[in-house]
Amino acid sequence: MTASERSPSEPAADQATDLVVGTSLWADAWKRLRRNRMAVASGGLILLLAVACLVGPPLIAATWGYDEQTQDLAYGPQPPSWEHPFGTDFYGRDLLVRVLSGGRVSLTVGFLAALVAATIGTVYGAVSSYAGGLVDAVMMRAVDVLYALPYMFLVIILVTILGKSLLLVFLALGAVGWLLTARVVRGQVMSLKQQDFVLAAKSLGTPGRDIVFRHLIPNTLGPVIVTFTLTVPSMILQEAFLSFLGLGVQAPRASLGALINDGANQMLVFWWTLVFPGSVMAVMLFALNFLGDGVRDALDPRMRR
Amino acid sequence: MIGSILRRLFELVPTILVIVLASFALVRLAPGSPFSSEKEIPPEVRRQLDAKYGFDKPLPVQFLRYLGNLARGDLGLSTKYPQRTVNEIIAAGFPVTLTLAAVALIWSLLVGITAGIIGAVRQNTVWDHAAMAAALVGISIPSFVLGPLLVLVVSLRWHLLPPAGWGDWRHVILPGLTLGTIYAASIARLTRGGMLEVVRSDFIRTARAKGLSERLVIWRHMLKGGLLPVVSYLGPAIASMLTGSVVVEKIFNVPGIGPYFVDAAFNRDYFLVMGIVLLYAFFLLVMNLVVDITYSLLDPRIESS
Amino acid sequence: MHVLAAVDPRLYQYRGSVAAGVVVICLLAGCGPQESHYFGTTSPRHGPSEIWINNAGEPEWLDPSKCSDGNGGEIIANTFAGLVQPHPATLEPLPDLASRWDVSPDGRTYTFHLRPSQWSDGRPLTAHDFVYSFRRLVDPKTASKYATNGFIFKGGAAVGRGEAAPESLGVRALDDLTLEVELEDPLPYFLSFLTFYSFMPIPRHLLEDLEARGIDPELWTRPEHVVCNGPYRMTEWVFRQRMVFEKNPRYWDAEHVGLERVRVAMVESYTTALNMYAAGEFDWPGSNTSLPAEFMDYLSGFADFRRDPYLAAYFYWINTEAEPLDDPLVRRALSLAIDRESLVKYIARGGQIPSADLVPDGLAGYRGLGLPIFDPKEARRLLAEAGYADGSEVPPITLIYNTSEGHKQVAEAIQQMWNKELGITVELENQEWKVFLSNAELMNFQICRMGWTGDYADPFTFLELLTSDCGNNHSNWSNPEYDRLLQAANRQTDPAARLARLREAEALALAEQPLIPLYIYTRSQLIKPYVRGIDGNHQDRHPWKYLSIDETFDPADPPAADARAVALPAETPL
Repeated sequence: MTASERSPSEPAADQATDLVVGTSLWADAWKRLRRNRMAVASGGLILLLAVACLVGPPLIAATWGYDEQTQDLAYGPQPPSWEHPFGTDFYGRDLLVRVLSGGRVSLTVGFLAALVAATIGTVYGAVSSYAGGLVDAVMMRAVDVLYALPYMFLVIILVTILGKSLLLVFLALGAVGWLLTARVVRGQVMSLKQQDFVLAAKSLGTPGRDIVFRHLIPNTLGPVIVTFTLTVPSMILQEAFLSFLGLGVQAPRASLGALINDGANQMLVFWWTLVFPGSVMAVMLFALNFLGDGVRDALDPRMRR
Repeated sequence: MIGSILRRLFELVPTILVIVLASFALVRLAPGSPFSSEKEIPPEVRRQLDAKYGFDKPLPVQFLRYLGNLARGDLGLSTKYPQRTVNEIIAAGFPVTLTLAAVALIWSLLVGITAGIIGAVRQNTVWDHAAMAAALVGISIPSFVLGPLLVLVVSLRWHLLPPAGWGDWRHVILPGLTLGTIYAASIARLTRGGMLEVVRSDFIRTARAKGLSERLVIWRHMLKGGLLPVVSYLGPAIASMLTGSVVVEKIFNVPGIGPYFVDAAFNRDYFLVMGIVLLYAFFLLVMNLVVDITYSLLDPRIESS
Repeated sequence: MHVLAAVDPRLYQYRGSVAAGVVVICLLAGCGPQESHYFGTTSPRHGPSEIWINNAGEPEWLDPSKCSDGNGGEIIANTFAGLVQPHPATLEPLPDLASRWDVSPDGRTYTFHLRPSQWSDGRPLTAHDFVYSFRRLVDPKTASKYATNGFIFKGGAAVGRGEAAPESLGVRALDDLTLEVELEDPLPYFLSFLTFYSFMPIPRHLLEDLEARGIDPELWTRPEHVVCNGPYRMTEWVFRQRMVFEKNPRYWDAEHVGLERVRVAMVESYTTALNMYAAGEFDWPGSNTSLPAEFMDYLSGFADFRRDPYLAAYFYWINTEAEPLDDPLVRRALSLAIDRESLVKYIARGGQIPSADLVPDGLAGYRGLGLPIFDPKEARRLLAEAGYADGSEVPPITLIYNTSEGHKQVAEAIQQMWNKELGITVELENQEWKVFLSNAELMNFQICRMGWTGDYADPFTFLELLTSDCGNNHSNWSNPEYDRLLQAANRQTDPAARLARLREAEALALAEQPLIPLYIYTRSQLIKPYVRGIDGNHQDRHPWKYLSIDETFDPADPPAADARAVALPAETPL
C-alpha cells in the first residue's frame, strides 16, 4: 500500500509511451511487489500449496500405497489421527489425499478458467475499441446484455445442457468471466489508440490486425494481469459454488467445493469432513486474494476498485 | 436528468428482447423434457400434456406466443407445479429473496463501512491491519462453509436461533449473516481505498488549508469519496447477492426464488426458468441504472451519459 | 441465553432441545450416543391435539387422477377415502367406503357395496362418483402420468390410447351405492392395488361448479375450493412453506380420527430436516424424508429410531445391446463381483437385505431364488470364459446415476469393487434427474442405476419390469418365453401354481442378467417418543388418522414398544 503513494507519474502514460519504458515498468513493479511482505508470503504459500497438491498425492501413493480413490469400507469414517492427519471419509478414504487432489482440481480450474477469461476478454476488448464506431457500440452492447444475465444462472443452464465435465466447467466459467477483462482492456485501448506510436504505426500502413496484436494488446498487459490475479480466486469460488450444487467435478474425483459439500452434509456427526477442506479452501482464497492485491498495487498503483 | 433516465429505460427494451431470445434458445436446447418421469407415460397422454403447454407447436411459434404473453405480463405456467403460474411462484418467492438480500445488504454496509472508515482514519495502525485482515478472511470464507458452521454452533449447540425455515425475524438472521459477510469484507476494502484516494486529492488539502476541523474534513469529504466506489460496487453486489442466495436458501431451507431456479433448470420447467432469468435480468438492469444515477448525484463531475 | 430469552419467550421452548446440543457437543468431543437416549427434544412444542410433520417437498398434483409423486400421494392418502384401505400393519385391504364386496368365480368381476357417505361439503357420495373418477384416470384428456394404473380395468388400455371412448371402461354403477368393476385379468393383488391413491374418488360436482363459475377446474385442490371425503381437509397452503390440515367432520369414520390438526412442513434437504427434528420443529419427518446413510450407525443407537423392511429393490439396469455388455457372461461376472454384504454394511448402512434376486424373498408367499450375492472367483472365471483374460482388456464402461448422495456412494463403492475384483475400469457419470430419465428412456447408457418401489405386495410388481412391452424395461432385453410365463401365471387362479410360474420366469431372466439386483430396501426413520399410532409396514404407509400424542410420556419411564402401535377401532371389520 505504501508503495502506491510513491508512484511518480500517471501509470497509463507510463505504459503507453513505449515498450522500452514498459520493460522498466515491469522491473519497477517487481521491486514493489517484493517489498510487499504479505504478498510475497501469500505467493510463497500458494506455491507451497500448489507443489503439495501436485507432489503430495503421488508421494503418498508411493509411500503408503493409497490414493484419493482407495476405499477401506470396513475402516469407514475416522477422526484425525497420526496415520490420517485429516481423518477419513465415509468410504475410509484418506481425507488429506483427497483435499490435496481436490486442491489440484480447484487450482487448475481456477487458473485455466481465468486464462480463458483473460484471453477472450483481451481480444474482444481490444478489437472492439480499435474498430470503434458502430462495431464497438454493438460489441459493448453485447457485453452489457451479458452483464445483465444472471451470471451463475447462465452457467447452471450451460452445465445442464452440455452435461457435466471438468472441461465444461472451466469453459463455462471462463466464457462468462471475460466481461470485466473486456471492459478494462477496451478502456485501456481507447486511450492508447490516440498515442503517437499507434498513430505512427498506422501511418506506416501496418495492418489493423498487427496493430491490435503487436502494439495494443501487449500494452494492456498490466491491467490484464491485475484482473487475472483477481479472477483466479473468484473462479475457484465459482467452481466450488457449482460443485456445492452438484454440478461440478464428478465422483470419485473431487474438487474442494465437492468435498465441502460432502462435509456440510455430514458435519453433524463427522465434523472433520467439513473443517479440513473448508480451511484449506479459505487459506487458498485468502492467499490468492492477498497476492492479487499485491500485484495490483505493484503494477497499477492507482487502479482501485 | 429525467430525459436521460427515460432514454436509458427505453434502451432496456432491446436488451431485454435479446435476453428473452437467448434464454429461450438455451433452455430449449437442453436435453430432457419437463414430462419425463420414471414411470412410462402413454403417448396419448404425452400429446395432451404437450398441447396444454403449447409444446406441440414449432419453436418459432412458441417463441412468438411467449413474447405475446410476456407483453401482457403473463410468464406462463409451471410444468413442475402445474397448479401455479410462474407469476404466482415468483410473487411468492421473490419477496423472500429480497428480504434476505436486504438483511444481508444492511449487515454488509454497516460492518463494511465501519471497518473501512476505521482502516482509513487509522491508516497503517494495528486497527487498520486488523480490519483489513478481517476483511480478507471474510472474503476468503465461502458462504457454503460459513452457513453450515453457523447452524452447527448457533442453532444446534447454543440453541439461540432456529436451524432452518422461514416465518419471523429469528429465521432471517443466520442466512442474512451468511450471505452478507463476504460483501461486508469487500465494502470495507473499497471504503478504505476510496477514502485514502480522497485524502491525497487537492480538495481535502484545500479544505484543511481553509481550517476546517479534522472531523469535519473526514465526514464531509472523505466519506463521500469513500462511498463512491461502494455505490458503484452495490449494483454487482446486489446482483451477486441475489444469485448467491441460491446456496444460502438451500442451506437454511428459505423458500426464496433461488432454489426454484436450480430445481426448475433440473426439471426442465421451461417457463419458470425463463421467468426467473428475466426477472433477475430486469432487476439487474434497473439496479445498474439506479446505481448510475446515484453515482452522478454523488459526484457531479460525472455526467450521466 | 438469558438476555435473548427475555427478548423472546419462545426461546424457552428450545430448552428441551438442549439434549440435542449436548449430543452434538459430545460428538465433537468424541463421546457416543449413549449419553442421551433420544435424538433431540422429548416433549411436543404444541398441544396434544395436533402434530407437526414434514413432507419433503411441494407436491406436483393433489388431484388423485393426476398425481404421480410421493409428496402429493401422501396428502391424497390422508384427505381422501377410497373403496378399500390398507391395514396399518399388514397392509391387507380393509373395507373403507365399500363396506363389503363380491367377487365372480373367474376373479374378473368385483361388485362393491358402498356405505352411505358424504363429501366434505355435505353432498352425498355415490358409486357414480367412482365411475367418473376411474374413467377420468384413464381418459387421455386428463393427461395423467399414472393413467396406466387404470389399464387394469377392462378396456383401460384402449381408452388410454385414445382408441375407445372412456364410457367403454369396465366400470358401472348398478345403483347409487353399488359399483361393478370388470378387470382385464384376474389380478390376485387387485384389492391391495385399489388402496393406491390413483383410485380415490373425485368430486365431480365441484369441478363442474368451478367451470360454471369460470374458474380453472384444475385448481380444485386448492384450500379455497377443495372438497374431499377423507379424514383430513386442507385449510392452509403457503407455497413451499407449509400446509395445514383440519379433521374433516364428514369423513364416514370421523369419530376414530385422532388429531384435530396436522401441520406439514416442506423441507427437502435431509440434513436440514434432521436438524429441525432435533430442535423439535417436527415430531415425525414423515414418509417422504429419508435418513442419510452416513448417520445410520449413529442414529440407530437412539430410542426414537426405528427400522422396517420396505418393498423396494435397488438395482442396475444393463443395456444388453451395448458393447461389451451384450455378452451375458460379462453381465453375470459384473453381478458376481459385487460384494453386496459390504455394500449394505458399510455404504447403505440401513440394515438393507443384500440380494442378487429381483423379488424379495417371502413377498406374498414367494420363495426367493437365493442367487449368490458375491462370488469373485466365479466372476473372474466367467469373464475369462467371455474371452477377457484380464479386466483391463474390457472396453470402457460408463455407469450413470441421478444426482444424489446415496446413489453416488453406492456407485463409487461398486466402481471400486469391479476394479479390485475384475480389473475393469468403470466411469461414473452423475446426471440430473430429467437428463437421466431421458437417457434411460432413449437407452442412451451402458449401466444405469434404478430403484423400484412395489406398488402392491405381489412379485408381479417387480417381474413386470422385464416384460418385452413394458415401458419401464430399460435393458433392451426381451424374451418371449418370459412374457409367456408371466401371462400364464396371471391367468392362474391357484395361488401356489401362479407363484411357481413367476419363480420360473425370474430364474429365466436372471440367468441372462439384464439387470443387477443389489439389495432390498429398508425404511429407517426417527419418530418422537410421544407420538403414538405408527406401525411398521413394508410400504411405509402410515395414515395420519391413527396418530395421537401421548401427553403422559416421560423419557425417564418410556412405555413398551408395542404400546406405541396403532390401536384399531374395535368395530372396524377385518
